[in-house]
Amino acid sequence: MAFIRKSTKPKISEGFEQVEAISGDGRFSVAQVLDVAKQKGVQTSPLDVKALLGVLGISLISIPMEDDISGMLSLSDNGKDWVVKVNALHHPNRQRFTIAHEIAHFCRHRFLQAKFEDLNFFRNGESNQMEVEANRFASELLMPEPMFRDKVRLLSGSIEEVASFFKVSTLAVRVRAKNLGMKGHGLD
Amino acid sequence: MDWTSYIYFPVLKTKDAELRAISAIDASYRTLMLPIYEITKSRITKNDSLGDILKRLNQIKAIQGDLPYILDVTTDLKQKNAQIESLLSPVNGYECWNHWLDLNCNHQIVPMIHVNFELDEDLSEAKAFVAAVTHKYKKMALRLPADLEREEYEEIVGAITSQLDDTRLYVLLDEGCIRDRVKVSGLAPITNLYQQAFDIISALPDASDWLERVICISGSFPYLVSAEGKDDVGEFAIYEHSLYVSLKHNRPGLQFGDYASINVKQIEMRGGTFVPRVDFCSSAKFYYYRKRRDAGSYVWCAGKVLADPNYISNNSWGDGEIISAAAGIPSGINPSFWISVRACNYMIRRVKELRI
Repeated sequence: MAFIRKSTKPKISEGFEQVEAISGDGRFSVAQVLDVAKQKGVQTSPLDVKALLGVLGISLISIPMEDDISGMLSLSDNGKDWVVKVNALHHPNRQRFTIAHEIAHFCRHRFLQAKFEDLNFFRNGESNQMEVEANRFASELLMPEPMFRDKVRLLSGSIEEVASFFKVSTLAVRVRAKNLGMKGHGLD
Repeated sequence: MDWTSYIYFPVLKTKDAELRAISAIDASYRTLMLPIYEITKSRITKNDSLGDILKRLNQIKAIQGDLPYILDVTTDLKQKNAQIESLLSPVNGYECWNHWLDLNCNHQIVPMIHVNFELDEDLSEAKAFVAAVTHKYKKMALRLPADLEREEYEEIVGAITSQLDDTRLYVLLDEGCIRDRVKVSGLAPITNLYQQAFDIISALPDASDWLERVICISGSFPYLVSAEGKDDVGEFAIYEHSLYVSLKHNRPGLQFGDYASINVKQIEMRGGTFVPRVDFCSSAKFYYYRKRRDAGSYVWCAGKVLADPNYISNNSWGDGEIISAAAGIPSGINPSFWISVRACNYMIRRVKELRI
């Protein structure tokens, strides 16, 4: 389709302000972010994480990085704009999770730090509370509970098909299922 | 050539499934269709590492013969190549697009006017393109989202029409896949978008002088069919049809098109991930039968389709393939082939519906 829109920056800040307005303390929940995504026409099933970044006013840079770095969220030198960098060499599904993880840091922790550099996710025994929360947030954002349960049921628990629908890794599906206390279907 | 006879405007990417589907449709239907071909790269081979788009254009020419068509190029990152990038470049009034059309197409085609606000903010390049080619073409096309503001339609369409001689313009309003949005918010918000956009465009200054038709385009074929019903059988609504029912009172000024029952985002199937499936449709619904891979899956699915009381044959190539498969001799056993069968029957069904 040979139509390329004007820069969406004005709409971005509008969306961002909208989330801020409903959040109270400036921290956003998964539900609030998904609501705004829907209102702004961002696909949520599966979630278009890049479009969501746009709505939140966050720029995305996809560049090759060392393999053990997934991505990072940082505040620009101008002190206003946030930027997500994602490792372009990783699988697209892994990049989606990375972006969701950085969105989580933005939504929950941006008042605490100006830079978040993320190594491999789902490491056993992750003890950093912020990272645990960001992983859980990202997981809920990409695989909202009602839809996740529906898909597991409809797809007869096929981890590959559930992962394919949500465009995440099978590991992410297993972790999500575990966190929801779901067993059977080979999920546990 | 009677341009007012066209009642169905399918958007077709130039992949094997789409091209096989439209080439199999009988001429009696084809003369009522003005397809929008969205050129994608051809298959990468040892001898063609670029995926030369001329191969695709030659296939289109062979299919269309003397029938006109709208020609666009894809902006889908996965389907683009370096040739397409250059055709989309606004430099010097889209000179690559202009020259490529001159070299490779006759003047029976309807070329798309590209709009790129990132690289051509004041639309001076788009205007230069239109000014340079308007004398060659009876019709041109402009493809826009349906959710723009009034001022944006005025700005874009005003800029383009200011450069037209006698060329008349098809304005395609394309919202892409509407499935999730309809499920979340219902049909009314989408219907309103198209209605407002149609009303705005129809009321632009001197529209009767330059506006050929406004075309409502959308798609709703799901990414994952099995999520719409059971694993082996199911049905789901064709939201393009619902949209048509809601907006058809605007005809003939507003006409209708879609993505020919092919998922708008064109997810590539990796080997081993698909489950053989045969689909068919009524005016308002799709039905499917699906069987996990083992010998005879398509035979089983096709047999179920023929026995389904909702199945009505169009006596088409697609129906012939379903009958052959049910008899135990399927001509194709890959998803692309059965997408063609579905799309062929779907497009015929749409023409039948739209000509009422």
